[in-house]
Amino acid sequence: MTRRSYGKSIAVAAGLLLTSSAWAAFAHDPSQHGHAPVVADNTEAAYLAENDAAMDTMMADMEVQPTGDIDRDFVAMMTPHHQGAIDMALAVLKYGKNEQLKRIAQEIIVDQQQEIAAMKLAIGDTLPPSGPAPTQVAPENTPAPSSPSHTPQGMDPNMKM
Amino acid sequence: MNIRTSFAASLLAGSMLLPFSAFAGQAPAAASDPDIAISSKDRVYAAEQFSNTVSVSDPSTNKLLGVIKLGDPQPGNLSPLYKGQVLVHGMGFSPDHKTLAVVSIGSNSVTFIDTATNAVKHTTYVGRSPHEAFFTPDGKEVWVTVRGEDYISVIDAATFEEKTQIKVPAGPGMQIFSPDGKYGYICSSFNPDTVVVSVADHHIVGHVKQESPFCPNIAASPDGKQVWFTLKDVGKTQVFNAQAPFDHIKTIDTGPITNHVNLVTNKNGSFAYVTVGGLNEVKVFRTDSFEQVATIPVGNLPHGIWPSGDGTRVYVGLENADQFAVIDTLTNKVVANIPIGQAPRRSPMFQTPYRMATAWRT
Repeated sequence: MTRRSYGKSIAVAAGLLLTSSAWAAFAHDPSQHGHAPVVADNTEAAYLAENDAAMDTMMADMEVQPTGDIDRDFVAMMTPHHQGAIDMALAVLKYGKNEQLKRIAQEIIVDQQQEIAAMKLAIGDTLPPSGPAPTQVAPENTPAPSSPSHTPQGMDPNMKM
Repeated sequence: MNIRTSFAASLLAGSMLLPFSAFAGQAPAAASDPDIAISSKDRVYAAEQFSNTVSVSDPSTNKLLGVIKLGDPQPGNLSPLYKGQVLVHGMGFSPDHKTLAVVSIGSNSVTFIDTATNAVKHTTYVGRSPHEAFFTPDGKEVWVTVRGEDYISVIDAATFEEKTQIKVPAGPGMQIFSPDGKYGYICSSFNPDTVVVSVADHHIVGHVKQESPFCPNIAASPDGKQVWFTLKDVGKTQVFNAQAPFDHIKTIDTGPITNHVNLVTNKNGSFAYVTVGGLNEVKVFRTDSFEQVATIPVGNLPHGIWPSGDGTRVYVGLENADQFAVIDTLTNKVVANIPIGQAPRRSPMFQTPYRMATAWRT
C-alpha cells in the first residue's frame, strides 16, 4: 500500500467511525454526553417512576398543619416519612439485584412499619390495620431495552465524541 | 424523670440444698423435670435496650437489686471512642443456669455473664443485627439469630467462639429448642418461613409456613408436643406440631401488635400466655382446646413474657412503663409490679427461674 493510499484508508476509516458513533449517539439519549443520568432501559425507568411516586407522596403527606402539640406533629410527619422509606424499599425489592441490599430492604419495611404503630400507640392514636408485612415482593424481570444498544464492533458506546 | 428502656427478664435460682437438676418443668425445659418454687435465691434478669444494662431483681420480694452495665445510654454511646454495647435486647441462658447470654443488636454481640458473680465472662461478636440467643439443651452450643443477615451463628459454649453458621430464611427472629434437645425451631421476622433444624448435624429438616412474614418470638411446650409463635404484623399466634411432619395445628387471632408467647404448666393445666401490645393485655389460652380462659389487663405495651420455675408466675415486660407486671397464673391476676427504674421498650425475653446446680452465694 502506498503511503498516500494508506492515509486515504485512514481517513475513510475515521469517517466511517465518526458516522457510526454519531449514529450510536443519536440512537442513545443525547444527554449521555455528560448531562443528566442516562435512562438505560425500561427496568430503571420503572424503578425510578415508582421511587419518584414514593417520594412525591411522602413530601405531600409530610406537609402538615402544626397542631400546637409537638409530639402529635412529630408523629404526623414521621409517619409519612417512614411510609416513604417503606415504599422505596418495596421498589428496590422489585427491581434491585443485590441480595444483601434486598435483605436490608425487608428489614426497613418490617422495622419502619412497627415504628409507625409504636408512634401511634405512644400518642394514643388508633393503630393502622394489621396486615402482613409486605416483604414478599416478586422481582421484576429485566425487559429487553427499547432502544438499540448495539454499537459498531470495537466501539465503546460511552465514548464521547 | 423516667427514661424508657426495653427489657427482658430472666430468672435464675440457686440453692445448696437441692440435688443437681438441670431444668424446671416449665418452658423452655421438659415437663419431666421438677418444678422449682420461687425463693430469695432466684433472680429475674431484664435486658434494657436504651440504658444498655441488665437489671437484676429478686422475685421473692419483687424488688430490683441492681444493674449490670454493658454500656452507656445516649449520648455517650454515640461517641467514636465508645467501646460498650448498644441496644441490649435478647437473652438466653445455659441449662446449668451459670451463664446468661445477652444479645446487643446495635453492637452485634453476645455477652456472656456469670450468674454467680454478675461478671461479664466473654463478649463474642457475630454478624449484623443479632437478635436472640439460646443454649442448646445439652449446653454445648449457643445459637444466635443474625436477623440482619440470613443465618444462625452457632457458638461453642466452652470457648465462646463461633464454630459454624446455619443458613436459614433471611431475617431469623428467634430460636427455641425442643426439650429433648433434638430440634431447634427458628422463626423468621422478614419471610413467612419457620425452619426446624436438627441440633446434631445443623441441617434443616422441616419448614413451617408462617401466615405472615413477621415472627419475633417462639416457644416450645415442655411436653414436647407443640411449638407456639407470634405474628406481630397480623396480630395472630400460630401453633404447630413439635414433632415431624411439623404440621400446622391452629392459628389464633390474638390482637394488634401481638408480641410474645410463652407456655406455663400449673395445677390448673397447660396454658399459653400471649402479650398483645396493641391492647395492653395478656391473653391466656388452654393448650389442649385453645379456648381463651382469661384476658389480663396489664400496663402500657406488654412485650416479653416468661414463667417462673414452678409455673405459678409469669413476668411481663411493659415496653412503655417503668416496670414489669407479675401475674399469678393460678388466678390470672396481676399481683405485683417490679419497678426497674427504666421502662422496657423492645422487650426481648424473660428467663424462667431455675435452681442452679451449685450455690451461687458463698
